[in-house]
Amino acid sequence: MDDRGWWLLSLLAGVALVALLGVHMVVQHFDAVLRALGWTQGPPVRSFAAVAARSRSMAWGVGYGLLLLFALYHGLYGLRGILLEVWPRAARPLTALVIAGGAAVALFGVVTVVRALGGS
Amino acid sequence: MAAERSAEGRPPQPPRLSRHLGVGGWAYAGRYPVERYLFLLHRISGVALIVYLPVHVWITSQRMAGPAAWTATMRVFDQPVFIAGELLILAAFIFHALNGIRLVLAHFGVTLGKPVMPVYPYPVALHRQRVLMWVLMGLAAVLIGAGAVETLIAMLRHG
Repeated sequence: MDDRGWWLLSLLAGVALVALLGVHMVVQHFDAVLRALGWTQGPPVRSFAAVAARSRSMAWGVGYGLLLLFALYHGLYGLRGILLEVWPRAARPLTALVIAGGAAVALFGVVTVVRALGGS
Repeated sequence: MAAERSAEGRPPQPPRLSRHLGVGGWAYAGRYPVERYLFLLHRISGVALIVYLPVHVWITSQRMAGPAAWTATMRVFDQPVFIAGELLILAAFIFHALNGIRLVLAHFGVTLGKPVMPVYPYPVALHRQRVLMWVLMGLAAVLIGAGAVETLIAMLRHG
């Protein structure tokens, strides 16, 4: 894939993030609104009971995994673009750094999501 | 062609214009339209979000340490300074998402309209998407305001 493909992928990841991060932010920040509408019940959104219940749900797990991967790709692609403006000749080390950092966070996050699905 | 060469025999070099304002040119290089400052805000909010993401992944992974550790961690982040920080992250996301919708639409030519003859006053592509820009920014302001109200209520409840 050439640069156009990576750019297009970052746009598509951005569009996906509007939906995925949108749901995440509404659930986390508009809990009172969701309760008033009757769309959510049970313990407070940040209590361990609520967090553990979401962690064990396959739908939430897949959502968190996709959210993490799209966000890392979109964010690190954009960060690399900004840094390339400051250091235009550092394309190779910047790309390597961004891939290494992104892979580390992705691995840690996905392992956590999968372990949480198991309920441990 | 030989006449264009300088005394040293090198071909004429283009004037050094690129990057002559440096990073300062991101903030101001003369007569920027509103959208240029949205571009700057888009960058600032984007950098804030990607810097926050790994920290957020690390902190929320504390759920694996069990209920006691999670509750202790959340007690730290229920302090007003962190609640306010989370509101800033929410605001960064809302702005970045809504401005990003405009950028993607413009990228695929949706907002640019059909080509027309360049008759004075010349059509400007930016003016055609300005209504959409203000609608999206108005929506962002409303959503950020709603988030601020919710945060204020949460803060008062925690005392």
